[in-house]
Amino acid sequence: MTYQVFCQVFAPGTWKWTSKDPAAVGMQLDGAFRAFATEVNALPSNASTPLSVIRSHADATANRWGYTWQLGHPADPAHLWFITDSLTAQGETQSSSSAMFGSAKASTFSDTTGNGGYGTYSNSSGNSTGLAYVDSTLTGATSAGAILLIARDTTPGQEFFCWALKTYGGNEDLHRDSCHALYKSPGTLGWNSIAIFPKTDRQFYGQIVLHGYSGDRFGGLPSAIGSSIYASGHQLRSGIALGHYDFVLQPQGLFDSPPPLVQLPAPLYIGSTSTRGASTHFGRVTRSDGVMIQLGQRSSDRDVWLWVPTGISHNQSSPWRSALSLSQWKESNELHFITGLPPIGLQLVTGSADFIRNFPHMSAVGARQHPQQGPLLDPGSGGGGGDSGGGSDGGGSPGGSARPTSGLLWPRGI
Amino acid sequence: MSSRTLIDISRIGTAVTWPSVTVEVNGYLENWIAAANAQVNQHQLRIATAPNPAATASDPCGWRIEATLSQLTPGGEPAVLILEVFLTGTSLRIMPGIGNSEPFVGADNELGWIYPAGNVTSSTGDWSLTPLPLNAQVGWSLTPGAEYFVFAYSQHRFTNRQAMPLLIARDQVSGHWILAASPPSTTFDALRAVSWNARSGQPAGSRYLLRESFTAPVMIRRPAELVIATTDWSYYESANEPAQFWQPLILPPDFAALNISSAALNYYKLPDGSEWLGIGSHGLLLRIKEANTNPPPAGGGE
Repeated sequence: MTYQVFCQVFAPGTWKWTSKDPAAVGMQLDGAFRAFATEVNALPSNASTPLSVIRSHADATANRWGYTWQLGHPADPAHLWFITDSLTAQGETQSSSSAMFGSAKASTFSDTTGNGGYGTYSNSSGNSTGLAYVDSTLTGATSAGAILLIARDTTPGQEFFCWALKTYGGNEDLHRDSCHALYKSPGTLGWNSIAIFPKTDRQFYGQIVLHGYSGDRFGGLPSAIGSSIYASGHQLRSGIALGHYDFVLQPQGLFDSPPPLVQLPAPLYIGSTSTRGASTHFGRVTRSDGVMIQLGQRSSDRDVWLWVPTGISHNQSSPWRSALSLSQWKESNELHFITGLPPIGLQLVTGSADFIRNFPHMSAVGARQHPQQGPLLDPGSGGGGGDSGGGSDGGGSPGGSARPTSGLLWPRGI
Repeated sequence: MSSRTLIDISRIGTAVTWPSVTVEVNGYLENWIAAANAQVNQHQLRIATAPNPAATASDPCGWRIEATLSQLTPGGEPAVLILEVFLTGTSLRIMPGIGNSEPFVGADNELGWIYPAGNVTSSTGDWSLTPLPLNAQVGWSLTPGAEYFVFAYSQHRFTNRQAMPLLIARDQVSGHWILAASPPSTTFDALRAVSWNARSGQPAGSRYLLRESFTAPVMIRRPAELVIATTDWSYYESANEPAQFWQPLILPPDFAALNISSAALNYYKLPDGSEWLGIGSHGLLLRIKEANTNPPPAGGGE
């Protein structure tokens, strides 16, 4: 099957992130990821970029719980992890980071049982986040349960694996939901990653973490999200470009065209829901052609929703089940979902002397390039459309070019 | 009339030029609207108020443009888009709106219309009465499905003297007209646009183009998309309005977005062979020359 969405519910009293039980959330997430990895690794297009599991809940030896996944690469694979480091994080009493979302090159990894069983890295980066609840068998958290949702697509070219962990019960304001997706973006061969930990009034480490792994390192994605999303507080968008996975070389004028844009995975809508919309974190909007369900939380930085078109189902066996039949997600309102259109063409306006692209019209150089003003300055050059318009061929190459054919030829394009 | 035209109507700037420029532009606009109405017969464009050639420096002078769409309002009447662009003294004011009376019968005042969104209201900029050279361009296209008319000028190099007083273009998604303008202003979101979103069934207003941050490398992005402002609007001012689903507002392929602003009437020659003219001070570019038929490998996510 291609796109599928399914989930499991871990009821209050049994919800326990800090557990190796095969039926508990950690190992169920591990199993779902392994199944996805097996399928996509079998695709010829992923032969050089296989996914694998480095660590899972099964490897936990102390107070760390989570996963480390490897993103394949022909020369230099990389690791991503989401690992909690508190055994007692419970709702309002939890005032500091209780989890880390990190990344590193696989070559910096020491495959030991240190760090709670998860091994250590000589060079890594991390982002603080947290879970509001990790164990509902503890006093004060017995009313908390959790839902693990998986959305996945194994279609070649649009591979997508997204998990969202949503706790529920008790004071709805205290929950901290997490969402992480690995995916292929058009034009890229390797894996991209987006992790969204919505920032809320009670959530101190909310953030959106974007990664594209370009071979030697992770590129932090400079985000066009800010300009894509109107800051009115209740707008979510799909189809936006998140940025380029290697940002550093472009200002040097080395590329005519930027590297492929990393795009937001098609089913995800990201935006700001701070002023209106779902009251907590289980919003749902039902339409004739599908259902939108909230994976994140009310947040200005950033909420995330998942589009589930009508007819989408899954082939997972029990206890996996359809997410749409759950009662936790309540019909919501007041939000705006905007289907965007990814850019179809981007070109850089480079600026070094040999790559003049920008001709200000107030300069003689610029005026000479202008389709109408240029010929006025230099009638012999032919120029473009002239005063008769006809813009489709305006600014064309000069007919009787006055450009010298020998001697100093700089600057080009004159 | 060729399908695409670009005319230079620059002035040397020895006099107060706005009335004479706008009257000249209006002549082209009347011809284009006649052709556009014949070609896009499901919608009707109308010049409700034309520039007054006898305007003094203190008289309002400019346009009120109305577009009656085939789209119906929730009240079952044709939706009417309105754009007012008037210079009074040194204040050039842009006012986007929609017809609010049912049915809309046209009214040369503000009573018959309202803003398209809560924060897509009027936008103003300064026109200099000091004689200054005026670079100005008028362009239009009657390419089916991609029709547009645009008027832009630059009084000097700074963004506070660059404007796009008029843009009428077909939305590439809905086929509706988009009425837009940007005043001479350094404010990044001073642009104003109004259209009608078929999917959400309500007006769509915008204050800026979707473009990369100014801290990103300078790049030209296509298609040119207007960021929809989704603030409260009177049809849905009641609490608990339903969630809305929107399609994007996309300008015709002759337009692109650039993430720098002081670009009015700058000229861009790109590696793919395409050439672009800066329009106004809010990052809009107009294509002058097509890309080569065999461009280098595209970089965009295609």
